Amino acid sequence: MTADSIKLRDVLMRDIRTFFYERGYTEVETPIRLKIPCMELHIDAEPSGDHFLRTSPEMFHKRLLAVGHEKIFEIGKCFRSGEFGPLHHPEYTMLEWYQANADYMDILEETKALISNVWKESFRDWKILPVSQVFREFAGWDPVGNFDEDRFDIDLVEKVEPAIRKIGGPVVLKDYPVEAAALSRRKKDNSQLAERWELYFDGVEIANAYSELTDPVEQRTRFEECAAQRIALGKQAYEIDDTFVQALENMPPSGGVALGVDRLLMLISGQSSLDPLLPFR
Amino acid sequence: MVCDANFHIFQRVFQCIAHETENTNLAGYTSFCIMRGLFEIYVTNGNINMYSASDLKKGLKIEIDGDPCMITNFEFSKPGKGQALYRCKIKNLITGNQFDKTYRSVEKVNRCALISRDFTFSYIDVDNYVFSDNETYEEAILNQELLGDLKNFIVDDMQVEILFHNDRALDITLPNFVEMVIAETEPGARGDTTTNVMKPAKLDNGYEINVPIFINEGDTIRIDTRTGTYADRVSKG
Repeated sequence: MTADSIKLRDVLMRDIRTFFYERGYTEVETPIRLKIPCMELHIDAEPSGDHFLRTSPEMFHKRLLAVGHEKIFEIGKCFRSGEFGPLHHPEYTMLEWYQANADYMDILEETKALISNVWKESFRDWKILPVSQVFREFAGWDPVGNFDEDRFDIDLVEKVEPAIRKIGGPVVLKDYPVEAAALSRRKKDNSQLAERWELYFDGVEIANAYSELTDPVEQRTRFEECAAQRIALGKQAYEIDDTFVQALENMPPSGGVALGVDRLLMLISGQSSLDPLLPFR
Repeated sequence: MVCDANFHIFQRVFQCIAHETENTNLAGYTSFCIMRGLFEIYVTNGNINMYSASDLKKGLKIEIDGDPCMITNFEFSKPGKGQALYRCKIKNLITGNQFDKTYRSVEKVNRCALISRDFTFSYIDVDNYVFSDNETYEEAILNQELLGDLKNFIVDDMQVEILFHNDRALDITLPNFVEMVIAETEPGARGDTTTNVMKPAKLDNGYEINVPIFINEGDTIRIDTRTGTYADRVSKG
């Protein structure tokens, strides 16, 4: 355990909050124990009695957007079952924020501002690369319109991420194949692409952003498909959260992002593993 | 490998066949029951002999394409919204080849059954060293290439442990220390048993070893078989 990491975290938390307060954001608190966790193919929720621990505050934030809150953020613990490694811990601190009437690229500008602000270093050279381009360049194929999940995941980890690590600094992968859209909306001019980006720093992924999907019909279909895929993988399929799906009808077009605070702290302090930053790990 | 989902389908099929044949065809029903029993044994063994990808860790021994292998490095990885991936560096314990392999969480990996047995050294047959099992007297023949430098430290009636994978000898462990006689060395400085100055010497099998300068031809020394180096002097020649 290092005293430094405790102090560093304290400074980072204050800086993050100051950044959002100054920009007119409201800090919100949403439930940590949920009846129905957000259904994603490869994210498993930790059971907690007859509830689950949240894997993300996403669904509650969207319900807040639907009732008129326009700029909201939350910093809190999220839980993901079975994720443990140098860059993973099953209980971790997530920063999540949403802005109404914004899209994923607006959110990227805000993310850049946040990073420079809290890191106290300005990164000028942000490389913004389409997923299609990096896969063609580093893995030799284009997953867009030709998606193969296993090949995509394995090549991402074995070929694309090491290449991004070599590029170094901030790299944003944008416009994912729609099959990997999760809760993001399709691009207006190309329905095979989803408005989603992931931010990497020195090859370490730290944030994931969407232009949020606000179509309740498409959201329900995606949840149903996801449930079927989860069952096929031998995983538990969660219920579909009707309150959430219905709320999308009143949700304005919005941009949102989730950022791993522990990983950000790791990068700021020049570490390559979460070990020195999680004193009770 | 039969996955769980398939197993349930097979069970359903078995139930239907059982229902159809039970009253109409006694001989058919009997042979069917035997087949079902064998299938269930196969499925059960199939499962207990496999690791899930999430069981993998550094140091674990697994079997790939029939060869025993060891995981020398292990990394959990989970890209973006993607699936958990288990990235391994693996060493083939037969060939010594190292390679990378990435497992998805749904994949299963064969366990590796390694058995260690106690043997006594019997004799050398050209390039082969022959040992006999302390319990069954069964012979194990190890080629000198597999033994490497260890072959120099094998003496009559030596007690060794041999590691097997499916009856194939993989590795041998000698006692930590062995006593050997110095066959050849320059005469040393008498009486000086304190300095660390070393000089070359030869055992009667030709193995070259550095010994302290006070060691003479005919002296018996103790050698650490793990490092192949001089440990101490047992007696003067």
